Amino acid sequence: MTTSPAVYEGPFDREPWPERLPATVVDPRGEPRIHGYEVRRDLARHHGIADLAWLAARGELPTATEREAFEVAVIWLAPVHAGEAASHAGILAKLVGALPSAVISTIATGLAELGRTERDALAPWLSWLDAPIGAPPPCAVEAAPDADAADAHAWLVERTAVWFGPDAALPESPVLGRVAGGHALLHRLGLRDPQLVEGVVTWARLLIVIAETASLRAGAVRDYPARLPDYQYVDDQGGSP
Amino acid sequence: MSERPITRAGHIAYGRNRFCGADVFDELAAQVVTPGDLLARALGARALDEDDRELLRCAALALTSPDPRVWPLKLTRVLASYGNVFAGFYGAQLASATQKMGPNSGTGAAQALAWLLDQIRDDDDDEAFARKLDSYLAQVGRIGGFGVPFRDEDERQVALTRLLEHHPITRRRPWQMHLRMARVMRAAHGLQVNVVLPLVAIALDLGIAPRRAGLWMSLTMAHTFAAHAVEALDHDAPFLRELPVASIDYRGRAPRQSPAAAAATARGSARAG
Repeated sequence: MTTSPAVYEGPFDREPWPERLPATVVDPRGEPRIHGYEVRRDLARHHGIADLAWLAARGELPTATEREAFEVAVIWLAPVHAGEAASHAGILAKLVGALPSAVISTIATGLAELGRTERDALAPWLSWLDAPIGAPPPCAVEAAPDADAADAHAWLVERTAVWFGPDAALPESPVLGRVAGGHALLHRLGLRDPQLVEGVVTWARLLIVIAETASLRAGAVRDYPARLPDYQYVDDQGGSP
Repeated sequence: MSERPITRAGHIAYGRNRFCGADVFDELAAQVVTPGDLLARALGARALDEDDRELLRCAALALTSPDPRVWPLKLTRVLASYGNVFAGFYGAQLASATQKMGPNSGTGAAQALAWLLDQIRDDDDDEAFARKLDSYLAQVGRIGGFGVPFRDEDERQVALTRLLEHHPITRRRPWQMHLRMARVMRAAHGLQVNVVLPLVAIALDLGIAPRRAGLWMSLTMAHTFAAHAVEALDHDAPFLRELPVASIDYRGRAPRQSPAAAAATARGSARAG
């Protein structure tokens, strides 16, 4: 007598499921297209990288004004110095000898977390931009602006009046922080979806931080300042070595 | 910044490593029976006894839901298909940082259960219980640990309850509170309890802080993710690295030409004409 094999059946076997994966940006059939535009014979020949990023995020090519304001936002947001956690994490990944792909994944994770926490911290500022009552909230304000910061802010105020009209220009005072200014531009440009905003911010910074780690020697842990910061171990009895 | 940050997690000394307040090769070597003891210590739980280890054993069994079509596990496989088991295993864990699905739904459920443990008095009847629960729901919107898609009951919750039927935990307050919460939610809102709620009752019983319950669940089900990561590494590349074009349902814009390209085409046509 032969025993028939056990039949395993569960929800994934019995429920109806879609048979195809949905896609809305890249058309995989034939010559690759992004939001309908042919990549090699259209976008590559007639558009730059900012247009490509805007197209990806918004689904349409930018106007001249949108391109200009978007490029300024991306550049204002780009710097992340080595001491910021996203970059610090990338440095550590490189120093432990991680694969380049793992260094990049580490940095991308850190930058995405940075973008999320920035948006959380700047939420009062983004709300103020939609309903500007009273002074801008402290989270948007440069703590101790020097002449360079004031000059950069004045330029941005003047440009936002041109791009968005005088009613939507950023306030002349107080002097805004660089990151608050960058996020304000993205907000004025209509980028509201958290995933897209955090995506643009992460993209703006990714290559900068990858470059920061590129010159380091993989595996060179002795080059790392291990006591920065200098943790103090305390055990349950309050003892410390 | 002159103040030194404190760590209680660990310290490497010459010949004397310490972990979460104990000497590794002296105290811990004598106390630790399973790796679960160290995990419990890392998450701030009480020192485990044999009954507690049985709780961890049953929790791990209840969190063994191994089908590759379960979405977070599929994510593990898709990432691992490039040939990096760490990208597959750990990359997929990042998607656990949500309370909508997966192990971190335990954090919200644990916070709700902890709130009830604090707010419910022994003489509160089910009506008073439901009122307090509704006031909490009004604050947070929804509570993890409820909802059973595709089937009438969660077989993991049923099995976990059966496995622990005679365990001392059933006489303690977190477990009894979760049973009462399940009963009231079903009566008041028609919501069926799932495996997450008894699991977080276990976490709270062990002394794990509610905010750490999701991570505890994630670590307790690590074997499930690992099974998929290693298997996908071995043979999923042909299936997952690139799906056939026919399996993509493109719903985006139809082919079009940018104004700049159209102008260039027009200039070219004019030159040719």
